[in-house]
Amino acid sequence: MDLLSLSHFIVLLFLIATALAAIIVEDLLSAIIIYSAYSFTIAFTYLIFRANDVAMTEAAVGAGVTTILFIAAFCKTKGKESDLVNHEAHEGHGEKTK
Amino acid sequence: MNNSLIVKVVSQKMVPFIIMLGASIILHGAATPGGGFQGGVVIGAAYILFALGIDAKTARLRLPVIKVKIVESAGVLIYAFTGLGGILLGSNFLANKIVLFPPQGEPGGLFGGGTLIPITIGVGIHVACTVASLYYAFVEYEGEPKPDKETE
Repeated sequence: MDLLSLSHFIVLLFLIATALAAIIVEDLLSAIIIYSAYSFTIAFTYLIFRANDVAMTEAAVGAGVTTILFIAAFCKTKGKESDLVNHEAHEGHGEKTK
Repeated sequence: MNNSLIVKVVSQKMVPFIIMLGASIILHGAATPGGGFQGGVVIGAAYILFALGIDAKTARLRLPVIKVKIVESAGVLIYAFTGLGGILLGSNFLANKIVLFPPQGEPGGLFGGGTLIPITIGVGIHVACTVASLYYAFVEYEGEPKPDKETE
């Protein structure tokens, strides 16, 4: 395995790690930021496979506008993130075993 | 949002540079990666950053909804009249090499696209205004709009 394919492998591994972390993490704001990191990583993956237009679109839309809209929706739905996390913990969707 | 001084100042100072980056992506759209959609999204994101830095009312005063709608329609009209120019000069819709108005440079250069350049500019204007409209529609939505305040 030469150096180039090794770097591709590391990027793809980071892609899978961010995709899993965006689902697993409980704090919603952290999930949004991790999703932004996932979007930027997949833009870098497109760039590796020489799809330059798709990479630029993904970096502009996925990592930029979508993150801003998610954060704005997050700010409008609940006041603070700690309130939201405590509220969900008190509601209890069968996740008390965690 | 948080009333941090650093966030306010940096978000206001960064806006012209982001707009210049978007204009560069739009104008080089025919030759390099990027184009109208990508540059338009960058310009719209610059406006969203500007509106998030200061409060929503000042941003709305700076760029009213009716102006956004007018400029958005102007982007579509640029595209349409560029296409109609091909018909007026005796060829197909969106014919490229027959239209004489855009300078025909060498292929791969900045002006090598012919009529692709006004088309890309029109798409960029339309997409930038659409992203700003998305911000108006999703973020600044405060219940039902009052009919007497906003005369459209």
